[in-house]
Amino acid sequence: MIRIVSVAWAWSTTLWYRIVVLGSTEYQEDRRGPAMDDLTEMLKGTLEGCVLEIIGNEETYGYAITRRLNELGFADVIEGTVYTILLRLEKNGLVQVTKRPSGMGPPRKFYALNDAGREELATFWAKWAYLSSRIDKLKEGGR
Amino acid sequence: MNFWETITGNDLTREWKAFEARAEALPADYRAAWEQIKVHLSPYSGFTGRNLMPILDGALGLLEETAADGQSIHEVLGDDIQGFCAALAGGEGARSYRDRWREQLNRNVARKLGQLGG
Repeated sequence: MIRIVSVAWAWSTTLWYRIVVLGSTEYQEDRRGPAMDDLTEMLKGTLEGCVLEIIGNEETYGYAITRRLNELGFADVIEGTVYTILLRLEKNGLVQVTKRPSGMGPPRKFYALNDAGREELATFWAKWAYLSSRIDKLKEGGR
Repeated sequence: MNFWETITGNDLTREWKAFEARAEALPADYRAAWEQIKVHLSPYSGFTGRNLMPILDGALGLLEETAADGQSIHEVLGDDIQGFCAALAGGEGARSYRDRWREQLNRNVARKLGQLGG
């Protein structure tokens, strides 16, 4: 009985998910070019590494990181997403956080990498190099 | 948090009022988003809601910062406030009240079945 209920529940939620997701992609295709409109899913795992890299270059804050990613061509990245990534980095002890007063509004949180963060960044680039070399190889038809 | 506050929870009330005062100072579209965030975070609340306080504090801080930058709320949170809240609460694996209910139900049924000698 429990199994039936939980399966039915899971099914109904995925159904909703499908309706919402399909609906939203269709909508976005009108606004943007067809090729680069669906990067969000592919970016998911790598965005954290990108943020680490940006922080590694200089101590910076959420809005600047978002702008940097947008300039790079990831127009879909919003500050809310960057904020949750920064929270996770902070929780995992990879960044050092300093509060600095800003010209207007509340003080900003500035982020810099600590030793664990630099280690994590090196691991990310190693993984990335491996992943992209494997996928390139696949594309070229090699084994 | 002292003993008195643990029992009465009036430190939560005080903190909550401070949040609402800060939210009052936000632009209207940001205030609407704040209401949404509260709604979508509530499934992740513990029995007292104390676990949500630092999360709400951080989210409100984000709203204040971005409002001061002059961004629109849509630029900041996009369409998916629910997904944002799930990420705030600790990613996709975060336990909501539904997960706790399901666990309790399964535990109880297992116990009853055990008593039947099955």
